[in-house]
Amino acid sequence: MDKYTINFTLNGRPVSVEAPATVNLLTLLRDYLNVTSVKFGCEQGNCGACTIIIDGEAVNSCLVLAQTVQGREVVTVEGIGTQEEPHPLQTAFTEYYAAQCGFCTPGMLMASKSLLDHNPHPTREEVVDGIVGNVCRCTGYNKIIEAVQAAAEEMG
Amino acid sequence: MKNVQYFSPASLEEALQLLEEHGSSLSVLAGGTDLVRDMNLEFKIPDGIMWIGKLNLEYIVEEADVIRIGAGTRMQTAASSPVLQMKASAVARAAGKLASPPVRSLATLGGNLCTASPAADCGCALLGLGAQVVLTSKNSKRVVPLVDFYTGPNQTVLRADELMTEILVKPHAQGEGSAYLKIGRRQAMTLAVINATSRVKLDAAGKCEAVNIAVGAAAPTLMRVKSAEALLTGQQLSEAAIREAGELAASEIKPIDDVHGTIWYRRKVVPVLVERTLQEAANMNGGIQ
Repeated sequence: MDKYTINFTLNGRPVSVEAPATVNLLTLLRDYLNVTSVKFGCEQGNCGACTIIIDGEAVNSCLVLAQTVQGREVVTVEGIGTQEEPHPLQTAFTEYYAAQCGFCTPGMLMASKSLLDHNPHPTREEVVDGIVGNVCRCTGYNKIIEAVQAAAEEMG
Repeated sequence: MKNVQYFSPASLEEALQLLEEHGSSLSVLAGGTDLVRDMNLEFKIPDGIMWIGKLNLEYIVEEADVIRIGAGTRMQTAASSPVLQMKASAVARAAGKLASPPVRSLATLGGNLCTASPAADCGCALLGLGAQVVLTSKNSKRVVPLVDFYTGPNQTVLRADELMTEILVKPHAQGEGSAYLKIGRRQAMTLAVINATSRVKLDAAGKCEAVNIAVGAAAPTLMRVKSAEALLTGQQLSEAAIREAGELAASEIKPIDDVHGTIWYRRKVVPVLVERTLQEAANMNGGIQ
């Protein structure tokens, strides 16, 4: 099968990777680049577990053909904070017990980050609308919503 | 395993040339929320993929008597466009109700129309608005009213050498409004069990000068409810007339039983949505007498 070279920026660093035309960005990140925070859920855009940010906007990486990120900027949860310097959302998720099993957490963080980037002071309803495409099967939604609101306050 | 070819044309000319050469073996990739999903689930592995994300097809331009919307306009762009919110409200509303924010940053209006789901959110809104679509090939360009575009579930008149490039919507005039509503199995992230769009133009006396009614998930294709449109045209938009229009819609649809809803339920819900969209569309310009 023909392979095509894809050059893009991943979490601030340039990467170059070869992949067939049919590979989606979720698979490219997990299986080709070993970025495993991006979770494999439904592969249909229904669950939000693979949510990442491309050029400043949250998208389901399973619905993005890897070839189309040529020249673009991709951010995963690894790119928003470190263990030493976590993003305020990451701190708030810890403090508010917003992760139970943790499977939805990276996607929740990326959807929430995109929300706060575009709307720094969301109402509770706007937070709910921002993460409506992210399923938490532990159904810990209240904790997650509280954490996003706390992070928004913290960020001013 | 197929050797799938990938093309990423940098201009419309290049894209139309590729379609001319490869025809139906090439699948057009816009937002990917249908095509990549189908590839992931192995419903469909195309021979070739042509991504149209670099063709500058995302724009909303208001001219004197038409709003020109690029077929590559994404849902979030349509939902937050002041021009569409004010002058083609139904499609702004439908775009904002589709799936979730991450899907809305990918999915395009042209994709929503060309996938031709009988339940499409923006397809229903644009059909109710009376939109037209521009289909461009290397050697031709034709304007097709959306009402003539759909030929069956997931089937349209789009030829293999054509690309949908633009959507044309007549902006609301004075005394005109439009509305879109959907009932799903839940509030968000859901396919329409029934959706409906109304576009209403009232004259100075409050009579219905022009009316479009479209419903979705109610027949093999999105459909206009011609009997109800004929009934209301020239009439005072009274509560009784609106109720009768809803009942006509219930008798004109051809719904099916599926996992999303039953025939019985769809016939119960259609009149409700038709009535509510008519009221909302009319209220935008001074209300029902």
